[in-house]
Amino acid sequence: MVADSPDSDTQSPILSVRGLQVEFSIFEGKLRALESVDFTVAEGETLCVVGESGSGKSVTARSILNMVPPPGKITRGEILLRRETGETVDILAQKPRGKAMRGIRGNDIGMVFQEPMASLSPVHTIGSIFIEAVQAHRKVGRAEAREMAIAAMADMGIPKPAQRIDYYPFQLSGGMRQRAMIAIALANRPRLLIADEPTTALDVTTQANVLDLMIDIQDSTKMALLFITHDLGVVAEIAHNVVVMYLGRIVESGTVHEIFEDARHPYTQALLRSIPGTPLSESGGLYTIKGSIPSRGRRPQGCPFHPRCDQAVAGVCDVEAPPLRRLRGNRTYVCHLPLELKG
Amino acid sequence: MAIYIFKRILLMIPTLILVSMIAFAIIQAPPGDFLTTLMSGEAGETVDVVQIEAMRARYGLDQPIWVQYWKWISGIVFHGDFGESFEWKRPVNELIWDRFGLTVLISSITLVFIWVVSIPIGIYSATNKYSAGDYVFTVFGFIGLAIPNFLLALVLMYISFQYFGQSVGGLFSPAFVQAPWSFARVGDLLAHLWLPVIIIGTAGTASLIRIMRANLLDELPKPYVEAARARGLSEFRIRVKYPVRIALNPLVSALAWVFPALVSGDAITSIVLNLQTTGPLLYRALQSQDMYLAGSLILILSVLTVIGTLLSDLLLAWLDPRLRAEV
Ligand SMILES: Nc1ncnc2c1ncn2[C@@H]1O[C@H](COP(=O)(O)OP(=O)(O)O)[C@@H](O)[C@H]1O
Ligand code: SF4
Ligand SMILES: [Mg+2]
Repeated sequence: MVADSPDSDTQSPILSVRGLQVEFSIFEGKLRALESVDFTVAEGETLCVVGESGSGKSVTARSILNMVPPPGKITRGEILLRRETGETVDILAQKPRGKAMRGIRGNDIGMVFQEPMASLSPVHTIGSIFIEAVQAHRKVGRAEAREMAIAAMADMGIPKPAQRIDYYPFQLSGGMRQRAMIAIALANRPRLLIADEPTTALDVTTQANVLDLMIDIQDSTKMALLFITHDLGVVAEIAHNVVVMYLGRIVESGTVHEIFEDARHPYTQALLRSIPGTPLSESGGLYTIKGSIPSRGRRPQGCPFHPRCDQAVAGVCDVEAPPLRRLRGNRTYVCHLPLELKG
Repeated sequence: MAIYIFKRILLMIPTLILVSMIAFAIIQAPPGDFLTTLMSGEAGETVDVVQIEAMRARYGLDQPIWVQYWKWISGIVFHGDFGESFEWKRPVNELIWDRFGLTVLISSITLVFIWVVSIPIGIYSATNKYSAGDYVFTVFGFIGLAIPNFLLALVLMYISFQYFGQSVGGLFSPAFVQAPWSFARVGDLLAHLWLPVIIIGTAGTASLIRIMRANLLDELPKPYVEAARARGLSEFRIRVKYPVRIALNPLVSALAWVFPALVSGDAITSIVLNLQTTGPLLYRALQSQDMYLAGSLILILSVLTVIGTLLSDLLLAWLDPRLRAEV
């Protein structure tokens, strides 16, 4: 089930995100959507970002393309991208609307969005969107780009691609739309693909097909894949490494094995208990996390998770921010547990 | 698409029949028949009794109403005969076509003027929301909406006379009024045309700027815009190819009502400016109960509206593949 994991400790990463902080200026003041977000993705690696909705997964994805929508602003951090030439650029040092940044989007980094229908212009054919994506980054004639589009659609398992590229999005099924969307995101053979909940809007069977497809592509292209989801079942199927987010922070990270077999953070443990088929849910019965994510701007004191945490220690968790614990390399979690007995 | 067009044209037929009935009802609306009006000798002229009897027969006035309607409409459809204007004592036909030509000319140019001015400004205002420029255009827009046409007409006439030395009123300089068509006459027409175009078009421009701005503000945050940005397209290209195009749809649907609105909107302006368009003619015909003339004008305006609707529907279907598929 779990693909063998390339060791991201030794391989130099394609993407490394360091100390990323994003704030939204809203009516009530500044809302910190991301804080101290750190992770790396290496060639051939699938990194899954998990967390309930509102935990900052999409903002993270948009930060990597330097296109956080207003009123959001990246206020701190660096995002280093190793390009095909071997040079490393700091994405956050580029002008968001500048030419250099545009040369990275859709070229070095491809992105697939959650809603295939809403993310495709309703009045353009799949082919015209694909051709435009190719021509934005390389000098290719229309006819040649069209051939590329047909080949790419065929690679995505879309039947009758030569016909389908002239379809409008509404003429395709949800699964076909998402396949087309993936084909477009891969048009320029990016070295990193970001997929923001790409299967959430699809029914279960289609979801499984699209997931298999992504695994295949990743196997054959060796690109890095940053896969965002709130579904741990999906994580188990495709991830090499996992980061778990809660309220804009990474609360735990590790290999998929470590996360599923040896979760340290109570939030991760709660997530695992809430899906069937994991050691934690087998032992204790299916479980739902109590409470819900606090409304925006109302970050609890101390550990942000403490109002919902069933292991919270009164007087500690609600007062002091928990420390980052680094077990080895990328294996980290942020929690007061286990409490060290102080004198 | 061909099937769609065919269906739409087929659908027009019942609409047109209904429209013609309404126009006929308007002709019939004044009490008594018009011959009575004629005989009452409003203008103080004597009327030939023989002539009156001839007209009574021609319009079927002593027959049931549907026969009258049929005589009227079949005359128009099969012989292009719109009847007689009592006031002008001439066939309606001779009176209206020159004026329709001018009306269509002024209205079309005004429409183009409105679009050319309001679309770029609307795009600018939406993409630079709350900027100084946006506020300036907003203020101008509200002033444009608030000033009545006749006032604008008087002010601009004063300006054009005072500073450009143009003859006031009309569409031609005195030297060209009766002259045959020539390049010089067309040039003279164009030199006079800007005035009514601005006057008639100002309110429409102001409201279209608001519509365009609001539409675009709706489209800009949509996921497909973000997805295009994530593909590395330039902001300009993203806007032109996607949201602006979609934001244009409501403008195209506006085609259907913009045209008659322009035609009626120009009535007062035309009276002030002394333009030979249909507006003042219709106004005068309604005042003097010159019913065949009024009915014909209303009928033709209605038909133009129906055609405008058809055109805008076809354009919309061409712009938006989803509509095409629905039929
Ligand atoms: N347009 C916005 N305006 C204000 N706050 C926003 C906006 N977009 C995101 N946020 C903030 O960022 C947080 C994370 O959002 P997001 O990354 O979309 O969550 P996820 O993708 O994990 O569901 C939200 O809870 C919200 O507080
Ligand atoms: S720090 Fe305390 S409240 Fe937070 S997750 Fe750990 S135990 Fe729970
Ligand atoms: Mg999201």
